[in-house]
Amino acid sequence: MSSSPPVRRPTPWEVFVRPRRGLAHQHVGSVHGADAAMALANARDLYTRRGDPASLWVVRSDAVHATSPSEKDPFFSNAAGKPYRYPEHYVALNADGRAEGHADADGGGDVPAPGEGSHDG
Amino acid sequence: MTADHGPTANPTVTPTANPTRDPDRDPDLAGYALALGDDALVLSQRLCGWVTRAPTIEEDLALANIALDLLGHARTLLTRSGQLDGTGRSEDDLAYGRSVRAFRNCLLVELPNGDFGQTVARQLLWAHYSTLLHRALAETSDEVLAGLGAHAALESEYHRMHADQWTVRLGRGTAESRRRMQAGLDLVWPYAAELFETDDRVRRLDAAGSAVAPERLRSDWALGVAEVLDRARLTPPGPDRPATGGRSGRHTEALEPLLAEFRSVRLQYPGGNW
Repeated sequence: MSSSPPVRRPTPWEVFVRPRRGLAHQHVGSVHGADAAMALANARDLYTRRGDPASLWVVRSDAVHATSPSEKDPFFSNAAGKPYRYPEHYVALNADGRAEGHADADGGGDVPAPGEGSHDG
Repeated sequence: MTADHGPTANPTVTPTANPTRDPDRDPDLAGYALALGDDALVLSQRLCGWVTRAPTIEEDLALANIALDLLGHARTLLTRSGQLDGTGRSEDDLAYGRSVRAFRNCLLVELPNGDFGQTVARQLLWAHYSTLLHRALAETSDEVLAGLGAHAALESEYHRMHADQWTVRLGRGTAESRRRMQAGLDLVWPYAAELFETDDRVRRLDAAGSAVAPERLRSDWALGVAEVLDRARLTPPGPDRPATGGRSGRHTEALEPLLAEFRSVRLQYPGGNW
């Protein structure tokens, strides 16, 4: 038996399913498996019973590095108070280059040139 | 066999109004479909015996999934058999309404589950056969059977991958897993020969293009199984006196309790629907 691979205890794996081409893999849950092949087989039976998925990923759970809940506020506070990061912030222009629904140029300062809005750091 | 007997659930179960005028009537092909259907039904019920008892919850689900695939095959095959034999019997008539001696499944599928190694060994021999069978069935002339073959070939191929993976894993795992896997293989091996038994009736159907003579599959099956056993470092059991009889209704004592359990709910709630 010296040539046999070491027997591994089952460990948790995170499962990602890609529902169809063109969509990203999405995390759907976790399974146990002694290695990647067993984890894939288990994930297939647990998470792909419905629909016609395009692909399946498994990743060892201990390979996932996560933010800690206690750091949530400092980590994500930079998303707050920046309305210009949302498309709703901007007003569509009509063929004349004017903001739709506005006869005058009022608020024109809020309308950036194309491309400018995405560069927000 | 199904909780839902509504007409939309499976339109093909409707009995033929006048069986004697059915242009599809073919008693030989009906007998062929019946044997394949009984194989799938009995193995499905066998594998259900693992539910809540499998080594892990994931494996519990894997075996139940395989059982469910097989039940689907059985439904199509038994329904078709009832149409072809001219009696108009439904899948439920055939699944619930026959004596043990009327079952035509091979003995391999009715063998007790044993330990996990024994079940994996049975799955290995079965799934290599069923994959080849379904692929070949897809090329035959009966539309229903060919359609089933095309669909079931993919499912059987997954069953084969599942069995291959476990055979290699157990064969190359610990001394104990290896011992059990080899013991299971030795126990089920003599029952494989019956899978390939071909009588004159099936040989005629094969020549006419409407069925698959299983003797045609044997050499490919042997190659496929040998390759996996080699990878698993297991010893192929030597030639043994083959165990046979299921195809002619001579079953092991293990089949009757299995059918009794399978039918228990229907006996307790006749005509039950849920």
